[in-house]
This record gives sequence, C-alpha cells and structure tokens, in this order.
Amino acid sequence: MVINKQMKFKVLNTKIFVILAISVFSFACKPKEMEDSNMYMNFLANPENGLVKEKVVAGIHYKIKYLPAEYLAYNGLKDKACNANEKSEAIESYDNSLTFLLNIGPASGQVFDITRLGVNNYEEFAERIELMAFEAQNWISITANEKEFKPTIVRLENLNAMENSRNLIVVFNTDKGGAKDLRTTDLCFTYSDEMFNTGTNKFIFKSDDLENVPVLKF
Amino acid sequence: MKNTGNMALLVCVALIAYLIIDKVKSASANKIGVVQMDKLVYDFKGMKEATAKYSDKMKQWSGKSDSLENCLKEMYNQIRLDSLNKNQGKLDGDIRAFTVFKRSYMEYLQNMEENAAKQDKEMTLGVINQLNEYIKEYAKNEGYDVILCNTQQQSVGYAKDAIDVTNGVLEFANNKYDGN
Repeated sequence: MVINKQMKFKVLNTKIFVILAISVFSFACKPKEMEDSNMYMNFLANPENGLVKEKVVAGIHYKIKYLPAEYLAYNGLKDKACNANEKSEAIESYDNSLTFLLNIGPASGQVFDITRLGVNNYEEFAERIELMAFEAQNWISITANEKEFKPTIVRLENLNAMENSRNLIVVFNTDKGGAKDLRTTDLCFTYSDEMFNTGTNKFIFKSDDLENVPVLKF
Repeated sequence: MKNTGNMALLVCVALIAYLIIDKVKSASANKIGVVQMDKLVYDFKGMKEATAKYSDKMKQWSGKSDSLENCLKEMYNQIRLDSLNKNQGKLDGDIRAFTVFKRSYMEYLQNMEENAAKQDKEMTLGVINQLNEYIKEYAKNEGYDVILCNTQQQSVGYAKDAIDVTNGVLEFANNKYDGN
C-alpha cells in the first residue's frame, strides 16, 4: 500500500516536471515581442542578430538585410488607420515570401557613386542602369537544402538619389508558395557580380536567426 | 663585501639592458608570411565554381555555333543540288542567302571568341579581387605585418616552409567564400 502511494507520488512528480519543462521550453522558444518600432529597427539592423550580412571586395561594399513580414507590413501601414484584421492580413500576405534588401555601395573610406564607377559616357551609364535594373535578377539566388531558388521580384530603388549606394529589393517565393519552407533551414544568398569584377559573393543566414525575429506589435 | 655588491649591481644592470634590447628587438620584428598564389588560386572554391560556370557558358555558345554550322552545311548542299539541277534562278538566290548567312556566322564566331576572352578575364579578376581581400583579412586576424604573394615569376626567391601560409589562407578563403 505504502509502495503504491510512493509510486503514484513519483509519477505525479515526473508529470509535473515534464509539464514545467515543456512550458519553460515553449516560453524560451517563443519570439520576443516589441512595441517600440525604433527598438525593432535597431534589432534588425544589428549584425549580431544575424539578419544583416556584409562583405567588401575590391572597394565595393555589399550589405544584405533580411526584411521580415512584420517590418514590411509596418512600413506599408504605418501612415494608415487600419484595424487588427487588416494588419494581420498584411502580415500574412508578406509572410508568403522572403524579402531581402541588397545594398551595393563604396567601401568605407571611399567616395564614389556606384552607378558611375568605371563609366566613361552616357551610353555606358545607361548600360549600367539597365544592368542594375533588369539583369541583376539573373545574378541573385538563394540556396536552401541544396535547392536553388531564383527571385520572383528584383526592384532597383533610389535610382535618382544623391547617395553613393543603391538598393535592390529582392523577393523570393518557394515552389509550394510559402516562405516558411525556406526559413526552416540555413539559407545561402548568392550574388554573382557581373558589374564590378568582385566575383561570386555568398552570405549565410541561419535558420535560427530568421525564425526568432521578434514580433512587432503595432 | 663591496665587490660583491658591485657585482650584483652590474649583473642587474646587464639583465635589465638585455630585457630592454630583447623587447625592442621583438617589437620591431615583423611577422611575415608567404602565399603561393598559383596553388591558392587553383584550389580556391571560388575559382573552381567560376571555371565550371564558364565551361557551361562556353558549351551553350558552342552548341549554338554548331547548329549554325549545320545550317550552313545544309545551305551548301542545297547549292550543289541547284547546280546539278541546273536551276540558275534558284541557284543565284541560294548563293546570295548562303553568303549573307556565312557572314553572320563568321561575325557570331568572332563575337563568341571576344566574349569568351572577356568572360575569362572578368572571371579571373573577380577571383583575384576576392582572394586579395581574404589575404588582407587573414593577415589582420592572424597578426601578420606582411604577406608576400609568390607568383609564377618567382617574386619570392626563398622562403622557409615555416612561413608558408598558403594552406591557412586557403582554408580561410574557402570558409569566407562559403559565406561564413
């Protein structure tokens, strides 16, 4: 009788331990929530969080930043009055793809406009812009689980800006229509440069970093 | 007693002088490494991938040139048939078409050669630019003051094996190339 009671107590203890372990684990795994958009932006921009990768080759600086669905939805809706439903719909639609910002510019300490580097006349300038706007799509890919994906959209931003660097917005979609498939594994973002003789440049994004981006409450 | 004191003082001064000279010497000594560029370039992952990409492009181009050549051969055979059939009107037309097509084919071949040379040059330059960056980074990380690049021209006459850092640089460069 006493042994039976002791056994029951032991089983109960084990159950409590398992429940506690599961709750601690799930709490630890849950992405953090942030309400302050500035804090959120700082988190995304901090290279230590693994969402920004940089490289310099032959005076050209490449910087790639992962843009989560919350960030894109926030940017699209911040100036509009919208309800929770519209916000979650926007987040959901952005969540079907994987978006990166590729910035190409001069390395630190160097001053030149990337669209004019090595350009001698207007014809060459026009060719450079055409390459950046329409050909860059062919030079970018991501590899996940040894499968290569080509971007569905590559858009050149700030073409006429006074900055020395230029941004390319790069959007990927998987065959089965979900970016979540891509985020479950480490991603290799590849940019094979054909403009500045900097070769093939690879940037690894860790699955853990992509999955554990804090949720922005807005 | 006085002599012993003097001796001790002398030994202390000599020891301090030795320590100071040693410190100055080691501070001014440069850490030098040598890289065998041929091996580095040849075994660099970036070079291997670029070469494979270049070969694929060349295959595509030569595939197109082969099909153009076949067209040219067919046109030539047609001309021979026209000649045998003594169909002068058709023969003249086919010769004209053959001449135009041949000119285009020759232009295509010339463009292909020029493009191949350009691609080859750009590809090699891209690889060398990357390696230069990785050598700099490796030197900074490992505390090298100078890394000499030995090329086919034997720009470095002699270097001890101990200062050959080719394997270290290669491992570092391959790792960086993979995006790590």
